[in-house]
Amino acid sequence: MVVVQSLFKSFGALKAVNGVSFEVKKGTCFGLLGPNGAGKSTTISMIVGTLIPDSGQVTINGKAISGDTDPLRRKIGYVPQELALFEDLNCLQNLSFFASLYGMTKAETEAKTQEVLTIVGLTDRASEPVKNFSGGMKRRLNIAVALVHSPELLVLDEPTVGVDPQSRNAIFDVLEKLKSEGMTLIYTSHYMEEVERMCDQIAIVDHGTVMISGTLEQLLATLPSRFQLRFSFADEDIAVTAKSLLGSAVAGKVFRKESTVEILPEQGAKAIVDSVSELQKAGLVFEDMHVERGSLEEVFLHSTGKSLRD
Amino acid sequence: MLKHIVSIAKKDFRLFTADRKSMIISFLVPIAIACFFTMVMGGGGKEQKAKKIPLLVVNEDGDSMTTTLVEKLKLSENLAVEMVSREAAKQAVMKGAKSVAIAFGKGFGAQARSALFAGKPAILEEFYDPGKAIDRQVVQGAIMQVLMQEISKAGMSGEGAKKNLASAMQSETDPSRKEAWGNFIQSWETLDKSGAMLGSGNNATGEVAAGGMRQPFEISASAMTASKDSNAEANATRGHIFAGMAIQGIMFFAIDAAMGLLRDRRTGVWNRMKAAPVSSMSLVLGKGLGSWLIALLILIGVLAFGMLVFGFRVYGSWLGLVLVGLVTTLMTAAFGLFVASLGKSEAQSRGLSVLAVLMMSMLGGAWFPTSMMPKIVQTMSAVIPVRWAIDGIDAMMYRGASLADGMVPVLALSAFAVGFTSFAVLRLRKS
Repeated sequence: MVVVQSLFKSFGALKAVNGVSFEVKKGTCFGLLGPNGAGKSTTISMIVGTLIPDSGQVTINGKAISGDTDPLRRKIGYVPQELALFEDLNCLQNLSFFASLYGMTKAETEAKTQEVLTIVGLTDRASEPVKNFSGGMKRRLNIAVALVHSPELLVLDEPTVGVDPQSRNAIFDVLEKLKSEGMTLIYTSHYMEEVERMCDQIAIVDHGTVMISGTLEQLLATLPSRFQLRFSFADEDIAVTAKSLLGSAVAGKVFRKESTVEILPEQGAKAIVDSVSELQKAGLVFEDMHVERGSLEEVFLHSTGKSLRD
Repeated sequence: MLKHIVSIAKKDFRLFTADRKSMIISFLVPIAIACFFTMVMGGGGKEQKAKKIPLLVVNEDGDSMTTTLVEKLKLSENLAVEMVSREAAKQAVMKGAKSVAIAFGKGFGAQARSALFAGKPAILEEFYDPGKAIDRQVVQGAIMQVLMQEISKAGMSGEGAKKNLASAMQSETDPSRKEAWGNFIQSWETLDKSGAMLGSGNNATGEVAAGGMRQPFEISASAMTASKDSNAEANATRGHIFAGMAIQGIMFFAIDAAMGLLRDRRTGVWNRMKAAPVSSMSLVLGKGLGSWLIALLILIGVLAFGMLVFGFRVYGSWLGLVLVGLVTTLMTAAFGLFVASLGKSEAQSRGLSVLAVLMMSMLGGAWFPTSMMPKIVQTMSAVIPVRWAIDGIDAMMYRGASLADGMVPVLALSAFAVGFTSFAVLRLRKS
């Protein structure tokens, strides 16, 4: 449904998006995962047509958006990262206003606002000013506004920023329902758990470039090991010595973060035995040891050489 | 396109009415400031009575002429005379309780009469508050008129005059001048007997003439307004103040509207609106239409309040006033868009635009008429839209201007509106 081809966008000397390409199939959820400043929002802005790329193209159902008033825009629902709502107006007034921008009639608007309020669970608060809402409720209304004109594609730019776990789950329930109904979703986040839960296809983005993309299984398959070994030490000095030791003794990639050393081993069971043995020999006492299944965090670490949360 | 513009304007109107406090403030602030200025400069009620200036008078002279002088001062329409002791007068002025006091010292009357022909002038002591110089000028004007009339009357009529002239002749040492004085006294006596001298005979109706020097002319002052009532000047002042404060108020509202647009950009609302199939032009014009209608409401509200409470009226063309009001509010709405397109953040734009509005209000004549300003400022004010708005409304309110007279400010304000809007559309489309 959506094809993004070689998008480039610079702001002065900063190359915000540097040749991003991917494809989103109808009825699937595509995740853009990357740290803050990776170029996700700029890519999203070019997909929804609020930013013109320096070069490259975005097509939706084979057509590129041309101009401010292109009817193709009706197919897209955009959920900005910010709470793009009028706080002094109530739910219905917010929804009616944005519906009017899409040329909806009064009858259509009335029917649709009730429908989307039901989807996001705000029916009983419909007449209340948005400024009285909690952060989670505002986030849900932010999504409802993007749905009011019945788009085929919903583009969500970090829709759960600053939301408590309960509200986050409520948002996921809404999105999963929409997906099950056949809506196509593009979802950006820097929370790997969200992308793992929601997305069928994932692209990891850093410095304006897609580092790696595919299904979750395909991305995990790129890791040298399907699990990760983590040692915690009493202080950073010990961790520095341990990293140096394990780097030469264990086959795989070794990273240190503060007083923790992480190993992405090439050979699973052998790496555990070798690591513990080498640390004991050197008299480096570890306080804790974890063996974890590989995740997108490790994929990001493996493909970019740095932590997603840095 | 029109549907989108109306939707955006309707939404802005809803936002304006949703925040009741802000809405009330938008009307109340210009009304409150205008009321304050009107009370200070244009009188508080529908009819204005001249305010009397309090004058403390000390009379230490037993002379009958001085007593008459004091009585005449009490009758002055500009003065509220209060008799006090010298010390009390000084203390009252010193403490700022009263602005002016005068003291007739002992022998003032006699000295003043004789000084008309010879000798040193009598001294009238004056104590004044240097912070209230205008009061002092009014008091001096009023007492000079009374004193000249009464002193000349007492000094130049009847036996008193002869006595003063004889005294003047005796003090003369130059023989030729002494002879001239003698001839003058002789002529005086001849004329006095025939009743031709000032105040010493009867007039044509047989009444005794008032006597004394008279003011050789009177000023007949007329305020040049279209108002025919006796309170024309005060009405014009009130009308000007309310027009000025209303325009300043809607300029400030325009800044608020601009800040709203900048806030929309910061909070992603603008981006969300841009994602919809709506042209940038519609978005900008929609914002402008909303601001225009709200500004128009504020202008109408403030002027209506002034008319109801302070009683000024429209003496020019009503249609002209409506037209000037429409383009004035259009200009302010466009000014809001202009400010929004210039600034990148609310904090950055608010301070600068508030300063700009205050400067434009001041130099454009919203506070005081531009005629009170230096010539160069008056010339420069032609590039300030507020000046055209004030000129236009003043002309329709109290100068009795016709619809045709209002066309110059209407065209000037329209040009400003088009200029501001074009700039804003181009800038916002680019950004």
